[in-house]
Amino acid sequence: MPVIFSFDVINTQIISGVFRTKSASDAITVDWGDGSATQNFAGTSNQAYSKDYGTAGNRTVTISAADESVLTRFIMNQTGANITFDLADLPSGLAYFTCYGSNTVTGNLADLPVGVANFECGGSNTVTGNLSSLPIGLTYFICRGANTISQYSGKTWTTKPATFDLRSIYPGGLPSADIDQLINDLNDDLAWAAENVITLTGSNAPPTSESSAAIANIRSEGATVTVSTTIPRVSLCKITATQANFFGTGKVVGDYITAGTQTLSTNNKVQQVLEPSTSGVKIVSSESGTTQKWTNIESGFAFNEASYSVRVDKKRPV
Amino acid sequence: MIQLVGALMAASKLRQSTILFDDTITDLRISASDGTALLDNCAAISGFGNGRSWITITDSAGKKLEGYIKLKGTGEVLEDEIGGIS
Repeated sequence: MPVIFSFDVINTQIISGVFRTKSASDAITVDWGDGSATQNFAGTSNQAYSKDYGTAGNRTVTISAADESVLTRFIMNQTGANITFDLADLPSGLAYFTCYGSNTVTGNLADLPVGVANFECGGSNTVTGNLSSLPIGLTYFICRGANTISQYSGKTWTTKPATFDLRSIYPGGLPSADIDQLINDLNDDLAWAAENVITLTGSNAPPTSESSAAIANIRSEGATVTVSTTIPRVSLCKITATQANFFGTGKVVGDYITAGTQTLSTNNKVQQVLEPSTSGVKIVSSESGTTQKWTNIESGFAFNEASYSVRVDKKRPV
Repeated sequence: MIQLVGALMAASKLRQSTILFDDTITDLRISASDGTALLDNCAAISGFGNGRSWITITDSAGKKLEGYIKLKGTGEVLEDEIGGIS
């Protein structure tokens, strides 16, 4: 029988999960890669597997079957286990894919088997791609981990992904225009309901007013929609949570930053400074005025420099 | 000629006398959003808040931020934490 799928096990002792095949008479044969006996699995209900190698190490697991349509479900959810392969290696008949643990799965969404209805990938995956290339029959989509999915260029949604959860990391993440288009398409093409969930956080940019109505409508239909937010532009903020040095600025929790275009998320949070401390001052735009605003911000002024030249005159020089 | 030099020196002294502060400040915190324009971590200039003092902040490229210092701060006030859910 030909090998229809293989993956590497990296510095791991135990892997476990589930297989399903297209019928009880269509079996897969699993070679665990350590010289031990192969195992057969067959059935349209969950066929649990657990392989304890005894010690952590590197092995290659190979799965053989009559053809690639035999394996329909693959789950690996052993905590801490690292398996790796490219999405393009998944067998063409796969419909249900879940991989957690500490996996380092790679690849592009465009290479998923066309029949995948359930895609769930966490761990330390580095999946990339364009959401527009997701399989047409997708009903469940979760991608977290270290994915750098960064694009959506439009799609007609004929099947509802009742759970759609994308949390990318920097430098991945969709720009606002793509987020708007995705939300608008999901709203235009589908009817939403309670228990449905749309989550677009992590390094995904926030939506703009272009999709506000769509978000409101999806929520009115009962779904939960969670999106990124941004710091008010050029406001002073105190960082209260950060993944890793706040998008490359070197800033950590407790530091202050004058906001640019940073996108906030569940992992990157701030509190805006509304009033200065006793070591600070309020600025107004006119003499003895009350409008708290700068009189002039020269185009290109650089915020967040380590130091500035500061001059204070008794009165505005003429 | 002597009169001209003298006049220039006098003008220079007059100009200098209008300067309350002229130095580098490190770790200056700047808010430039309308409604919350402020500076912090700048104790050296916090006493100049009278609504008339003019401040000029210059970055490393020579770009400027200018306005009037209104009031000394009375204690940091932070908005509720934002991020994650909108």
